[in-house]
Amino acid sequence: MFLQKALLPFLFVALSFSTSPSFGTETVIVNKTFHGREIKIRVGGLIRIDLEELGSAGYVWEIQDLDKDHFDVVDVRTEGPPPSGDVTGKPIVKTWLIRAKKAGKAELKLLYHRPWESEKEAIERFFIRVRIL
Amino acid sequence: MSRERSSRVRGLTLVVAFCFQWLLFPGFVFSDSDELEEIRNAIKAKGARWHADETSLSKLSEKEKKMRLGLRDSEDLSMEYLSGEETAPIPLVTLAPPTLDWRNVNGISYVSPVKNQGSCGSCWAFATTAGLESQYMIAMSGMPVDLSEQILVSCPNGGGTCSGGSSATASNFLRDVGLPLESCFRYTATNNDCSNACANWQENTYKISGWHRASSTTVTVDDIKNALYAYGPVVTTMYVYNDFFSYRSGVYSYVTGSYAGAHAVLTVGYDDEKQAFIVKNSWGAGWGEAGYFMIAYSEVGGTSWFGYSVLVYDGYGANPDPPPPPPPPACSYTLSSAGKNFKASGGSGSVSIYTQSECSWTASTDSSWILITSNGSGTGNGTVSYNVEPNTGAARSAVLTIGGQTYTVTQNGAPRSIKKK
Repeated sequence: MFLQKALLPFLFVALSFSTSPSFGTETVIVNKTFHGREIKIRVGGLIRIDLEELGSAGYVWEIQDLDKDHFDVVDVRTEGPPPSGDVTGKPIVKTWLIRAKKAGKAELKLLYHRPWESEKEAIERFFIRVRIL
Repeated sequence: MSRERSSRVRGLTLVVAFCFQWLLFPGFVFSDSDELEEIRNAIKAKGARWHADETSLSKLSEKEKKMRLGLRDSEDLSMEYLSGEETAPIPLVTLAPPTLDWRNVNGISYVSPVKNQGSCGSCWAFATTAGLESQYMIAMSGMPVDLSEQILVSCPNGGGTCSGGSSATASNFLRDVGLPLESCFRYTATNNDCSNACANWQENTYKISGWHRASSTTVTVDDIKNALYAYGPVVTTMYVYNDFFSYRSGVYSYVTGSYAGAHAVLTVGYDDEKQAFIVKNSWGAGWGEAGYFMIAYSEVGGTSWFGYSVLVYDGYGANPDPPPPPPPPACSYTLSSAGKNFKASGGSGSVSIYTQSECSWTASTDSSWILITSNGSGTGNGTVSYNVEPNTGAARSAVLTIGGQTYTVTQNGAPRSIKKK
């Protein structure tokens, strides 16, 4: 009985975070193949962006000129260190969790470069158009 | 009772929240903020001894959370580690000096210039190649050499690709096959293809004589110092965190930021007073202290786990011998003039010789009345001086041969005396 009471609210919240927009909070998962495309999301919904980066070469993805009227970066994370061994230089996946704040049209832009170098030296760019409903 | 129930609810809340986090981000945990100010604050708060520079990344207002999950199981241990291919461990050195920097040992550097791996996961190739270059320089009294990292990235059994590689496998390759000069296969920061290397490159390679691990168990600070002192620079692995990108100078130690990747570097020295190792990176000379960084001894086994693998090279492999040095350029000699005329009374003269700095020459004459007074031989440009004795007879001439060139000295005859009848 106690377990049911305690877990039910969390199960509801967990389900609401599924990718289906029919639930309260939707999450749209975006990766590199979405470059240049438009996505639709409801106000309050989450955009998860997964991009591979080569931190061991000094290269990272970073958000450029975040539109703070429309977006909030909820979190940024990377996968954990690998097991010990002699293998180095593998790329890792960095993930952003971004909340859509306000209805309208906006863009999310990221660039791939070495943080100590200028943005002009970026070797790759990524953007998506976002229609917030 | 109520408190107990509340505690249980809180516990369950945490458990479910944790599970929920993994629903969205399987394999991830949340990380801490990484803004420059926070890095600087963290440096201050933790008493770290390094300076963080502003980067475009650090200007962002986004929140990055620190990732501290460490799944260190044994599945990724290299076959080389288990196969025992490496040579015997180093003997303990108890008289290691308090500082050592292979960039300057009695005024000689045994470390090749900092290179730039670009956007290719080839740190393992750069670290191992730099290790071989140092072994060659140690064997050859500091003679520089620039070897091809691209061979390791592109050729079979080289150790890996631009998506990562094994330092141990690359070290086996350096021992068994070796590397040609950089000019044979220039670095492209791509996987490229081995067929693009120069023809027959395997016939003229540089090798290590062997390699071993700094320790058969967990590596300690003393293990690394001993290896540096006994053998030279060592190939070292570490974890890179986001604060490391902001490193500009000082002694790095982890203060904040999320995990960014496993990295291979070349440790080239240490400083007991600063309690730090001196390390050569492969991100170009524009990062850190002209491409180098110092890292605290405390990071050995610390968050960045500096030295979780340390490979020691036994020496330069003399079989086959290193390629012979290029032949000196052919020497050419030019004199400042073709010759000079003297009166019968004699005198002194000089002539300059021009040639390459490494070209030697001698000056000689078959004449008894010309005396070379200075610089009868030399190397590079020079000036030959000579004296001409008085002439009591008829006009005469002689030749000076300098660097194979002919210089003609002529002298008037003695004036005739006119007798009156």
